[in-house]
Amino acid sequence: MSEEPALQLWSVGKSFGVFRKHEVLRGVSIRVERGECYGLAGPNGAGKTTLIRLLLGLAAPDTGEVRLFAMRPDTPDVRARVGFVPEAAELPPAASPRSLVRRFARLRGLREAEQRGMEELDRMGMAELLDRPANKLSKGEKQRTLLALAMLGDPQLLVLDEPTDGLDPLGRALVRRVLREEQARGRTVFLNSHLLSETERICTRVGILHRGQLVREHAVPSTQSTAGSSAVVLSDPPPRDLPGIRAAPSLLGQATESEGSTVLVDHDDVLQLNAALDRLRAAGAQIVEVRRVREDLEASFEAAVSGPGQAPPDPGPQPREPLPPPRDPFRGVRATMRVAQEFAADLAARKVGWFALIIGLLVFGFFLWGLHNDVVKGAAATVRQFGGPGGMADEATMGHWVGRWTGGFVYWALLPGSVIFASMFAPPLLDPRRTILLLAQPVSRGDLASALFLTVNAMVLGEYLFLVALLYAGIRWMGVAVSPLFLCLVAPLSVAFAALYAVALAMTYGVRSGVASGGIAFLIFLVATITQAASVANPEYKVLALEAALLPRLIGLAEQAARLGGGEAPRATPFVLTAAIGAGIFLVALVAARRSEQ
Amino acid sequence: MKRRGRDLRLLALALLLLAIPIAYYLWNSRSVQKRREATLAGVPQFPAPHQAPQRRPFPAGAPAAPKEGKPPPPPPAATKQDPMTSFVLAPGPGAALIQVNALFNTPLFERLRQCLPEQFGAIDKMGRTLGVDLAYDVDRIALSQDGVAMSGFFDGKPVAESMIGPDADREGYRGSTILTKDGHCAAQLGNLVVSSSQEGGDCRALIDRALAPAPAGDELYGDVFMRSDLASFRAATDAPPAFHAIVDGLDGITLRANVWDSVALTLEAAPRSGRSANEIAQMALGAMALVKGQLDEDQVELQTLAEMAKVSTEGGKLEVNLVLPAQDLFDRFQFPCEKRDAGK
Repeated sequence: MSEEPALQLWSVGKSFGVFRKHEVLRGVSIRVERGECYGLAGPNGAGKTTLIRLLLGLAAPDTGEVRLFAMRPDTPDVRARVGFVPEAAELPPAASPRSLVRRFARLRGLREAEQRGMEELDRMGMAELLDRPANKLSKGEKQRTLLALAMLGDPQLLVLDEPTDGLDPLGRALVRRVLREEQARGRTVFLNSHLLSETERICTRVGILHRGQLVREHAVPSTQSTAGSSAVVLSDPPPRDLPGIRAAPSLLGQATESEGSTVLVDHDDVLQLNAALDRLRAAGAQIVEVRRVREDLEASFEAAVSGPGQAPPDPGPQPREPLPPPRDPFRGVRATMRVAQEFAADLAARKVGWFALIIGLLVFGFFLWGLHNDVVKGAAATVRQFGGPGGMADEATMGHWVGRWTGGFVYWALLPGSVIFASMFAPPLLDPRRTILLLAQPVSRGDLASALFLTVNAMVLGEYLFLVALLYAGIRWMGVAVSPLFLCLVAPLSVAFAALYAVALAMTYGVRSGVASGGIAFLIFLVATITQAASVANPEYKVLALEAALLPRLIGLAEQAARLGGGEAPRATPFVLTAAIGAGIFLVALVAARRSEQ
Repeated sequence: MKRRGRDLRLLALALLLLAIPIAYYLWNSRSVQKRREATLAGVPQFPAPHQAPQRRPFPAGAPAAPKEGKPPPPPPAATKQDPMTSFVLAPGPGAALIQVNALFNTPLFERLRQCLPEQFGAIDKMGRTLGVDLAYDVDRIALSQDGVAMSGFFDGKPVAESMIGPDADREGYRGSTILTKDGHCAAQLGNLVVSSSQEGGDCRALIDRALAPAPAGDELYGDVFMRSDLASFRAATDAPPAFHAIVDGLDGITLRANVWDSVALTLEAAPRSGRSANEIAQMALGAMALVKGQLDEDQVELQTLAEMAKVSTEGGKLEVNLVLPAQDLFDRFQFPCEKRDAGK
C-alpha cells in the first residue's frame, strides 16, 4: 500500500450564504505528497483562503472530502502535525515573541518545544526583538514570529498563507531560505502566495485557482535539469535551415533581454546545446545572449485565468474513510485547560481583571461606608434601645440580620453587573483573526468554548471570593458577628453567574457582540427574576410557574445567599436546578461553537 | 456524519438536563398542590359572628361516651341570655373565653395530648376529682381578673363542692349555694360553675357578673376570645422596650382565634390617641414582609399560610388576620414530644 498523501482535497465544494448561495469552491481536487512543496495561486476572490480553511478543518466542505495525513482535518490530533502561518492573524497585543513561544508551546502541550521555538526566532532574525510587545512589531517582524510559532512542535506539514506579504526583499529571501531548508528536511509545504515569482522559486508544483475551480496545475521544472530549450539572441538574423534551431521572435522581453534576432535551441543536455551554438557560430552568427527558457508560470497563470472555463479535472478515486483519531478520553479536558491558560494569559495581559477589581472595590467601598453609617449604627441603636445583650437584638441576632441582609444585597448587586461585564470578553477572544491561530493548534472549537467558559467563570469566582472575603472582614472589623458561612455566599453567586454566562456564551456565537450577548443575558436575568417573583406571588398561575421553572432559579439562589449570609445552612434544590439549567445551556453553546464557522 | 452525531448527542444531553427542572416542576407542582390543599384543609375559618362549628367527631373507643340522661348543651347566646357571655363581656380590664370542648377535639390538641401525656393525665385526674370528664363535660371556660367561670354538663354533679372540698361554709345567693373555704370560694348554678381565682375572692360578684345582662353587640365568637385594655401589660417592668413600644401605641386589643391544625387568628386593636392605625398597619405589614422574605421556595405550608395574612384599617381600627402554623411551631421550637421523637 502506497503512503497516504500529506494532504488531499477531493472534489471539494463550498458555498456561503443562507438564502442566496454564493459558490466559492467547485470540485477542487488537490493531492500533495509528503515532502512536496505545493503552491496555490489565483486572482483575488478565487477562493484560496477558503480552500486553506477547509484544508485546516476551520470550515467544513459542503461536498467532497478533505484529508490531512489520511485523517479528518478538524481532528485536533492531526493539527499537532501541522504548522500554520495565517494571513492577517492578530497576535495578542501585549505579548512578546518570547512569551508567545512559551504560550504556544504550552498550548500545543509541548513545554520542551520552548527552546526549539527560541532557536526558530533566532533563525528568523528576531533575536534582538524577543521582548518587544507584539503591537510594537512591524508587519514583517510579526510574520517572522508567526513563522517561528508555526515551527513549534516540529510539524510535518507547513501551511503558509501569504507568508511573505509585507516583507521587504531581505525578509522574503529569509523566508525562502527557511522554507527551502524545511523542505530539504522532508517537510511538506503548502504555500499560498500572490507573488508568483516567490511560489515558482520555492515550489515544485503550483495549482492555479480561478473562480473557485482549480483550472491548471503547473509543474515547475527543476533548475538542476539541463534538458529543455534555450533562447539564443544573435546580432543579425539567423542563418537558415540549421538543424535543431528554430526562430522564436516573440521571446524578447519574456525570456531574453538583449536586442537582436532570437532563435530557440531544443537540447537534451549541455553537449547538445554547445553543439548547436557551434553550428550557429560556424554559420557566421554572432551570439549576444544565451538564456534557458522554462514554461513561464506567469504566462501559464495569465492563460489559465483569461482562457475559457474548463471542466474540473478528474478528481481520481475517492479517498478512503478517514482514520479514526487516537482514543484519549482526557484529550478534551487537557486541551480545554491549555486554552484556558492561554485565555487567562490574554485576559491578564489586557488587565481586565484589574479593571473589574477596581470597579468592584469602588462599589464595595461605598457599600461598606453605607453599611457602617446606616445599618451598623442603626443596629447599634436598636441594641441600645432593646436592652443590649440578651435583648431582642443581641450580638448574635444582629450578626444574623446584618449577614442575611448583606448576603441578599451582595447577590443582587454583583450578579447582573458581572454577567454584563464578563459577556464583553467573549467576542474579542473569539475574534477570527485571533482564534485562527488557536484553532491551528491541536484544539477544537468546542475546546475553545469550554475554555472560555472555564476562564471567565474562574476569573469571576476569584473576584467574588476576594470581594466577599473583603466584605466579611470589613463587617467583622466593624464589630458585627457575621457567621463564617457568609464566605460561602460565593456559591449561589457563582452558580447563578455560570448559568447566566452560559446564556451569554450561547448568544455570542449567534450575535458576535459582547454588548448584545451581555444584554441578552441581563434580559434573561430580569425575566427569570420577575417571572419567579410573580410565580411565587401567584402560585395558581401554572404557565408562569412553568416559565419560571425553565429559567435559572435566581430568586431561590438569592434566598440561599441570604441564608448563608445569616449563618444558616442552605437548601440544595435551587443549586441543583440552576446547575442543570446552566449545564444544559452550556451544552447548547458548545454545539453552537462546534458548528460555527468564522 | 460522526460530527453531526456527536452534536446530536450533546443536544440530547442538553435537553435531558433542561428537562430536569421541568420534571422537578411537574413533580413538585403536584406535590405542592397537594401540600397546599392539605395545609388549607387544616386551616380553620377566621373567627366570624355566628360561625359554624368545626369539630372532629369523637374518636371511637376514646374516653367514656357521654352518659345517658345528660341535659342538652346550653342554648346559644342569641336565643337566650348566656351567663358565660355576660361573664366575659362585663366591663373590666380584660377577659377571655376558651371553647374547651371544641379545642379538645382539634388535631392541635390531639398533638398536645400526645406530646404532654403527663400534663393531660393530671388534667384528667383533676376532672375525675371534680366528678367530670374535662374533655367531654366542660364546654367553655371564661377567665376574668377576679375569677373563673366554667360551663358544661354539670347539672346534678357537685362540681363546686368537689372543687372546694368538704367542710366548706355554705351561703345561698341568687338561687345558688356559695361554698367558701380557706379564703377560696365556688358556686354552681346548674350548668355554670364560678370560682374565685385568688384568696379572698368574692363569689357574689362573680355570680352577679354572670347573671347581669350581656352588653349589646355580638362580639363574642371564636374558639378562643381574649380582650384586654393592656393596662397590665403596660405595668410590666421586666418586658423589653420593644414590647412597650407596641403596647403603648394601642388602646386595647381583642383577639379571636379558631383552632384546627393551625390557628386562624384575628387581632383587633384600636390605636391610642395621637397614634394612627395606618402607622401601626405599616409596621405590621413590614413585619409580615420580613417573615415572608425568610420563607424558602419549598416551605409550601408556611407560604400558603403567609399568603392568608391580611392587614386592614377599617373604621380607624387595626385588624390583622393571621394563620399561625401551630404544629410547625412545635417542631421549630423543638417542643419535646415523646411520641413524635420515639417515632423517628
